Amino acid sequence: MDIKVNVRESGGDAYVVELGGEIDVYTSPKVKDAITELIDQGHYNLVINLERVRYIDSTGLGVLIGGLKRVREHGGSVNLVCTNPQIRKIFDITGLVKIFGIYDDEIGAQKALA
Amino acid sequence: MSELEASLPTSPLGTEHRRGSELEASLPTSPLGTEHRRGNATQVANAHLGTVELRIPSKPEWVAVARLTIAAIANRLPFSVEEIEDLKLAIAEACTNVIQSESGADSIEIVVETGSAELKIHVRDHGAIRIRQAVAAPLGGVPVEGGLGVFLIQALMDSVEQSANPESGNQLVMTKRVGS
Repeated sequence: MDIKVNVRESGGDAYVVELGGEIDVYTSPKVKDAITELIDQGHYNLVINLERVRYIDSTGLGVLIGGLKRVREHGGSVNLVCTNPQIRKIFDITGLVKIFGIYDDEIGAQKALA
Repeated sequence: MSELEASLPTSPLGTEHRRGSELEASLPTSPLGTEHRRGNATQVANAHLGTVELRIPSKPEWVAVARLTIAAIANRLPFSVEEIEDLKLAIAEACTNVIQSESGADSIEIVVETGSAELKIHVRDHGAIRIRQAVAAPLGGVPVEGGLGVFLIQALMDSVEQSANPESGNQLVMTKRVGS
């Protein structure tokens, strides 16, 4: 079980949070910390890249929803990059596909933030 | 008559039984016998592979063990890769519900009844009595952060039942059939 979190600036005031591995009840606090830190620093436009995520459950979804709520309070947005059909399916089932912008690549997700 | 009975060492049935035991004991490495027993076991396994029980501590770091276990069991049935992913998510959600309920449960019991074409999974704990309701993400608005777990289980499995009482504790029973 592992999770990799890589945060980088992507031009403008947008930041990319690149995640890899498995996001579950054990690893999601690490993801939450990374997103919370960015928001606390005043970064409200985020791209969260899930391309290398092999597994996500409701706790991972909860972290993403929590981040979205907070950035929206400041007029910001969270867009996701997701190409894994199994993970995409979870967003479809839960209806979150209508709440997050979900894109096939980072460029598309970043452009949509603007 | 009574003397005759008294002189018999055992009843015929008892003797037969003992002979059988002796016979088995004397042929521990008979290839035919071993093959025969294996054959019977295989026939039973085709109908019902058996029951697997796992108990994990009610802590986040152990949920991955439940996921890996259910994947290993599901691999013995003709489930698709996608169905196995569904099972992994469902078992993780059930365990996560127990952990996040903070009900005081020390451990989570997982019992998997393995049929030839379905898995029936029991997830039990003996924490405070509760039944978690499914909460779907409302369309158009930002959903609550918790409560999606049971909703996901219901979406991914063929049947889900929850029960709770002070004697047997909290139990969630979910079934998934191959190809469903």
